[in-house]
Amino acid sequence: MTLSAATTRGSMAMPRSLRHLLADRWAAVMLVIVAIYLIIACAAGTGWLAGNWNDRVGPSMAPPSMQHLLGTDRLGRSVLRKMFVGAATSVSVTVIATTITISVGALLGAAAGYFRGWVDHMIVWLYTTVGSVPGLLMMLALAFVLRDASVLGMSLRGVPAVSLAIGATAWVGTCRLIRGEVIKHQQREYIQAATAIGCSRARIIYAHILPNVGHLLIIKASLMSVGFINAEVTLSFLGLGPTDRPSWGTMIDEARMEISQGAWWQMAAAAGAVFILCLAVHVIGDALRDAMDPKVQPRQS
Amino acid sequence: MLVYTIRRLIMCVPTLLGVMLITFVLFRLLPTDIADEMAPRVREQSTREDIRWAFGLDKPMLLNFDAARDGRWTDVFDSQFADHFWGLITFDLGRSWRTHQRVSRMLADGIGPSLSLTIPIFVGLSIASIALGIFAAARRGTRIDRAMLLGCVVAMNVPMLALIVIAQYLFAYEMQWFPTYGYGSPRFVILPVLVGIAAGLGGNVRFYRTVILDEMHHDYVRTGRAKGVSESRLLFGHVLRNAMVPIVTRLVMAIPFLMLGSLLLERFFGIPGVGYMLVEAMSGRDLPVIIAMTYLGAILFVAGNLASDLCYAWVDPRIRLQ
Amino acid sequence: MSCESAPTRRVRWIAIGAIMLLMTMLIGWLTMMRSEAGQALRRHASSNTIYSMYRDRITGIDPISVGGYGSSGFAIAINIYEPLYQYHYLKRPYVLTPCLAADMPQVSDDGLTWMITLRDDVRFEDDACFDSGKGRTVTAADWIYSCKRIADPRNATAAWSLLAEHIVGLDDYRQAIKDDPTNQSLTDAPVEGLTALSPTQIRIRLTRPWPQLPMVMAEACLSVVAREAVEHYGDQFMRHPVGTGPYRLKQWITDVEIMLERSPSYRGETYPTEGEPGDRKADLLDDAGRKMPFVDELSFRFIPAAEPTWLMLMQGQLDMHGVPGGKQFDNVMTTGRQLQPDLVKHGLILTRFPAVFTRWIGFNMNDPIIGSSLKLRQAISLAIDREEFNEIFLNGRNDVPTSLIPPVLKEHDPDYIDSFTRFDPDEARRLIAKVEAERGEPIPPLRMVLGGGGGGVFRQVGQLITRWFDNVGLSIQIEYVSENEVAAAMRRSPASLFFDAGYGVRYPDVCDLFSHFYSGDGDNRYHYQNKAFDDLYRRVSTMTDSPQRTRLARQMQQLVMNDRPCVIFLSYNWMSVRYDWLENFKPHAFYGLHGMAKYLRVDTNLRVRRLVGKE
Repeated sequence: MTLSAATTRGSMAMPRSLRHLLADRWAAVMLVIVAIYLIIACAAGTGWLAGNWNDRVGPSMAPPSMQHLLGTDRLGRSVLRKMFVGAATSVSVTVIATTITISVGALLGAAAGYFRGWVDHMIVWLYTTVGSVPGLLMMLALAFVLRDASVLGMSLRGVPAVSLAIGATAWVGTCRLIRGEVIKHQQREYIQAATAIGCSRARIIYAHILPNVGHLLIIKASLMSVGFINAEVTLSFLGLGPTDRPSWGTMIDEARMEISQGAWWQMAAAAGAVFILCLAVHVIGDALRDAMDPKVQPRQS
Repeated sequence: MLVYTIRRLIMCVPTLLGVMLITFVLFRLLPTDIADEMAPRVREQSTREDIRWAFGLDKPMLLNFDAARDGRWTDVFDSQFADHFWGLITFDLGRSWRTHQRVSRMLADGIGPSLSLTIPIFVGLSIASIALGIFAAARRGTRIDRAMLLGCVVAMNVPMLALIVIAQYLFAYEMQWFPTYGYGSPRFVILPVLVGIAAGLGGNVRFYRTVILDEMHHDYVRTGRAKGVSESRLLFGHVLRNAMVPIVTRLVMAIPFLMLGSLLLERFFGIPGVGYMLVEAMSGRDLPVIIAMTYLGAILFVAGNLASDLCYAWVDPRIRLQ
Repeated sequence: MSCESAPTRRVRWIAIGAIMLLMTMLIGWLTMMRSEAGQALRRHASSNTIYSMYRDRITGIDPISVGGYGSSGFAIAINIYEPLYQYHYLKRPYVLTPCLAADMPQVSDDGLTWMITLRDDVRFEDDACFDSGKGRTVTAADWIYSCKRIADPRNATAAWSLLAEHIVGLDDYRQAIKDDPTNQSLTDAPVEGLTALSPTQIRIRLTRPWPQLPMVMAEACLSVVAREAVEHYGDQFMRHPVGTGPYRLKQWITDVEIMLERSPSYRGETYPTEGEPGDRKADLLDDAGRKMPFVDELSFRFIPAAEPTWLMLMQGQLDMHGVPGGKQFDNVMTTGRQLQPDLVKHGLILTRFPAVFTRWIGFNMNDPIIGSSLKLRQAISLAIDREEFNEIFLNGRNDVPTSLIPPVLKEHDPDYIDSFTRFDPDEARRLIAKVEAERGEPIPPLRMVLGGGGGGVFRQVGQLITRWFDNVGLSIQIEYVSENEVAAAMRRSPASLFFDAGYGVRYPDVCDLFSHFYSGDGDNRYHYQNKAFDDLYRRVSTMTDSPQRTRLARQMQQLVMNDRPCVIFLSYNWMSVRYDWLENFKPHAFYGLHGMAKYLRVDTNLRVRRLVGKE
């Protein structure tokens, strides 16, 4: 592999993979679904949509009808509105947690791979330690602690605490991946060639190594998001999530008690919302991996 | 091999010390007052102070200089930090704040029910998903394979919570095929085991299918096929044998975690296992139990890793030299 | 993969065969289970056993740690351990009768010295911890030992708060152990205020008059334990209860079931011969004067969730189920306040009775906004729709209280109606407008700490409260903490309001209620201070029961209501659903939801008819 080939491949990866993605009919449909979720989440997050979710719109636990599309809950609130606000909660947690995971993981991983020596030792120790606590346990413990923590007088309770708990648990995988990739690439001929022609190490990382591992981050992020959506649901369900606004996890928790009285609609709405979003993100992640990762064999037709 | 084992064991030490530090930083520095948990309604201060005293939580956090000045210099370690480390190193996990029982005793009580749930899930899930994975891999590219793959992706994304609630409602509550809740006879674990298997099937089948397919892309398979070896002989005779390494590693890695039970299943079906214990400890802010569980989880993980590494090293002598 | 080879076909046949075999096994197993279930049901129905449940995990039955009548451990412990006094089973309002004591205590004129005579026929149950394996007679020293266990700080029990500063020398005893915790001989150190004058004579000396002492001596934590058992079992004493009561532990499967059986060495109390006017008609006096207990075995199943409990009750697996007020919001199978007709046909009976539990929303009187404005506090009281809460979460089982003193206390004044317990959002808005006019600016967002954890129902409760506040133009932020954390959260960052699990009367005395508003020792949660109230409290707490005391208590109620440091929210009723084959059942606020088993009787014939006949 020569120097020029490597760099062009890196820069060309995005558009080509996007084309691949759009050519995949399923992935395209899923992309539209995710876009709809994002729009709903933004609209609900800013309060423009379903800002009045806490209002009573009908009798307690009214079944779905033309008036209340997804029925009402125990407090007579519209399940549809709660579902929209839940989308905002879920999407914001997922986005924040993914950002934390990717940035912390990539930063630490690159630093470890780049500096080696004691920095590497420290970072490896840190991620082995954090990684050795089983993920769900670590996440629960962190969420439990962060719930009562505050930064600069601002309570972290709610979305920030959940996102942090998820992010602080999940960065380990990204970090390990990036560290390995950086070390691997440093030993490649093209990097050695770049070093020989006098490129600075920072430039090597920035211009040569990062583009070559960037696509890995995107794949990792999309595949991780599925786990994050579910993690948020589980944490909220266990009462560690946001409490001042609906979330799909808390909706499932509330529906659990309603379902024995025959009110299935809140459960169906929340579970359906989680399922469709997870499925969409998952399919997109898979498609991205197929499109971007050269290691994956071309699919058999 | 012995040298490698010893080296690998020594490498575990900093990790475990790190976990002890993390648990201390996470939990001991929390503004949680044992007196609030044990005597929430009591306003009378001496009762509250004495409860803290009885659990050693009136000691200074890091180092006890006051005691050292008055007594022997070793008293400087009469602090919560030293107690925490010493307790974890000697496996004295302390007493639960809520139940006053020794945490080790609670764990011993909980592991049985947890295992009675997780072992059947593990065995059933492994057998079913390896079989289905082989089945799909053998029919790769066909309509059946694609349907199974689609099924896997769909199944992987059904939220576990909803699956549990719906299964419990339908099969236990409405149809009354199984007891809804409780523990005591094998009947109680059937439904949770089935739900556990159903929840894990999608992901596992996909994993095993990929593992086997990855192996099929190797050169020796192509050579074998060119030589005219039949497809099924190739699959069962060669590919599977080689794919056994990642499969067995995954299985070995999973075994320690069986002891941690299943948080959600235990909670929903009322199985008094370790997972349920953790959920209760979380809601009751029972720090000794949470700390013990976190630490134990880490030890199990390290042990699982160690076991799988040693397996690898045993199979592949090159690893020992690295 | 177009053509199938022979091995693949073989694999398919093997797979089909295996599946068939599995199916056959499953069917066979299910059939077996079914016939076994039928036999088990007959056994279940015909045994002289009461089947009930407990909801919170029980790890030990030790009187000093089982807690009060709301706790699961208490419901089991009261059948094994006995205190000196007990509440009369049938009489209301609740009155004390002797249990291990021979009669009611003798008090000196200054109210400081109490003399108690013990029965001489009380024996501990037979247990391996005693020398001969035979239970010995209970003496005065045993009760004093049990008392000192509460004072021993190594036992870290919250029950100490009951006794602290009341008994001469007991606080010093506690301090001595705390100073030298490894010295075991301190356990035997004498306490001046607790003396055994003879094997059956106890003398108690108090630091100040304490007319509530007999009620404290009826608390489960002051039950008599055997020193031999505590020392023999050590750490595991809580798993090996050795008591004097009608039942003893038969089998304990952790987190599954606790079985008690009739204790052969029980002295045999007799069923009360008098009760309230309606009791004879309700067949509650049929067993008058007969030797108790009537039931051979008690089974307590561990069922922490509400839904399975109801299901098991419907199936007849449980004889009764108590619906607690307070933290659990059981969905009761009722329409309105009645059981559904088909349940009544199956023999279920619903009893609703006032519990000793009240829920208040507390104000932080130190808060600059809330504390300074009585009008605002009144407005919040009017903004709350207690009926809506009651309907949504509690199937309307409770009453909207109109006074601070709950009906279960004899000081309750049925004619007193606090006008701010009505729901009147218009008036609330008017009051708030006035407050804002006085302040010259709108009321800033208020903060409320809500106990009960962020999970499930309490989150919905919080959202309902938010809606009520919105409705009158107040903005509120709710911080959810666990039930036990409310006080701590209020200390860390004081909020304007707090909502916690409520308040249960420990014993039927109005002083226990008013101690929540007393600012004398330390602080109360409301930071409420009223000198006139404090003076009255000090007076009333040392007075013995009299019409004047009742008058003063009502005066104190008026003082608190004038200042309104809390919103009276709901007064809880307990509900108990039981089958008609359970006889002699009378709900008792101080014996918990499942009552005390020694009084109960099971009509096994009726149970067999109802359960097996139904099959």
